[in-house]
Amino acid sequence: MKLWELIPDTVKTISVIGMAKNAGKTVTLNRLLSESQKSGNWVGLTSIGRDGELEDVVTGTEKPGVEVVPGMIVATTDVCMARSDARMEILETTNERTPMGNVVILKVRQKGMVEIAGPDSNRGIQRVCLRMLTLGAEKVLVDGALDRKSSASPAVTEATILSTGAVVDRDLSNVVKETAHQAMLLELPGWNHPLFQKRPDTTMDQWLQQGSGAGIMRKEGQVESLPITTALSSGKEIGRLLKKGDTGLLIRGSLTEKTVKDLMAVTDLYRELPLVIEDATRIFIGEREWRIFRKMGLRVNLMKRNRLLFVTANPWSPGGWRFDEMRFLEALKHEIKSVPVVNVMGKEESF
Amino acid sequence: MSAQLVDLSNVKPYGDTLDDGMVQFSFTLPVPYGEEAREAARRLVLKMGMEEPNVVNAMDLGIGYTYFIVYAKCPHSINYNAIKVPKVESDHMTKEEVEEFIEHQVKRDVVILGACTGSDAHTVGIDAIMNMKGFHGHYGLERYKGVEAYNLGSQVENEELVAKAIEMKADALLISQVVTQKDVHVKNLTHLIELLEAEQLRDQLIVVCGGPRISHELAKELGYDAGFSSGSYAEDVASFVVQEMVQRNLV
Repeated sequence: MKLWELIPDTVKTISVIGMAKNAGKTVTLNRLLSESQKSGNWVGLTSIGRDGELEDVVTGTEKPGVEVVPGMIVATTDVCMARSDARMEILETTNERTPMGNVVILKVRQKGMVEIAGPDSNRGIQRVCLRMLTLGAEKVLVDGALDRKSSASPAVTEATILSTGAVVDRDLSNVVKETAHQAMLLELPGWNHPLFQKRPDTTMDQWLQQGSGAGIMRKEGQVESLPITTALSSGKEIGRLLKKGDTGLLIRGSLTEKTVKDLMAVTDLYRELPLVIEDATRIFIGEREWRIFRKMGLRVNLMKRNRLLFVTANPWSPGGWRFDEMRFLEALKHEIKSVPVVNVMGKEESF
Repeated sequence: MSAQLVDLSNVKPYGDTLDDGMVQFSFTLPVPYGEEAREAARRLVLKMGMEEPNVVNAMDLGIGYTYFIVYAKCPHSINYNAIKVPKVESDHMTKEEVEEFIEHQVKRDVVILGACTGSDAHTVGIDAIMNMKGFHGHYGLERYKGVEAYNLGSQVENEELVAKAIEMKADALLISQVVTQKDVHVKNLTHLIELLEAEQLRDQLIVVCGGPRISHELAKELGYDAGFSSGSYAEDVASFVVQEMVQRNLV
């Protein structure tokens, strides 16, 4: 079984995100690239950070390079293009600006190593993905950076691969706990309110367009926008506006621990309705707090569901420690049941 | 000892004479003070690939720790000519030029928030850039005409900063990170960017970070528009912010 085969045909844009830097994103990416090449697919490739540089700018550890072959489409900056040894043809220049230069879209003409640095903002990534698909890429892979996860938003990419590894923590059980938490967030259910189910996109889009930071689905089936611009630092205000019988609390933007705590401090009504947020990447709640909030009765639903394809695990840490491969994989599989967990440092067959 | 004699393709550390390769190390080992400790320090430096290590000072730190100063010869060299470091690319402007640029091109006041975020309480960096009196003869942003500068101080939570940015309708955020043990600055800096993305504000703001361990290259990975390391002044940051605003149509 190959990783590439775990990506459904209908999925066109895929993000690779990591639990931490050096969790094995680039290894995962390389494996996907080589498998896609064997299956004859034309792949587009970009990164919200930087890939293929031989030394990590944070820790100074050696990193694997990224190898591309003819036919692939790559979005990287002009500065990185000059540093790459693959021969590439410029298909298009873009207005995406980054600290490493402007982003250009290239077609690989001769096999070689590349340094990849795409747009830094999600909007930029979205635009560049679209262009690559238009220019002939069958699928586009978006590599993440460090521990940034926002590229997994369904507004940016259709599906996500989560990379984890020993680097997250010296204690195996902590790595498993945190990874399982992240995987669970990415698989949170959608909102099953009957009114929302009927016209999911229009209802939400209309509400989101109004630009209010939060809204309440009242008993009567109307979303009432609250007079706040963001839920950040407004948990108490929002909590005071909840009434008995409300059927959903809609939040635009981020959901943080503080917002939830403030909400809980002023009302008990949160137990009777789901908090509905845009998607899982808007959640900034740690594993421990999440468990506590859940016990207190918090429910979170998503307006747009994320799609987690699989989890890759890297038992090695550049910090110098490593986990027993089998134990690590088994522990992850025990906690993450809904998607495959793959040892990315193992042979292709080892699942 | 004129500069022409230096071979830039083969640069070695300088102690007393050109190319002598002399390097001074200072470090602590968790071992009790004594002859064994000195030998341990010497061997460690040898292991680093240095030659002729000489422990010139060893100090008992108590509780079984010893501090060392070691001199050694570095046999390695660097090709300086082959080095290319990405830097912030904006035309450098003086304070007066920035003010004029704002008046003619931005045509409104620029709102800039500065903060030391997370657990960091070391405000020297952000104070040097923001505060009126500035630093090293370079006035801070508070003194700039056309700039509304707010220094939020130290240990500002990212959440709080984002809420403030929304409230003040900020154009730019300057984040300073000085204390960075165990790479805590990286987590903290990415957390802010992720929050801004979640709030859909990332595109509307110029976000800049600075600190002794921050480079322009790291800024790219963190998701910032620019990174300034030590030795940058208010006008460097201001030049970048105002030009970037115009380039990105944020005026």
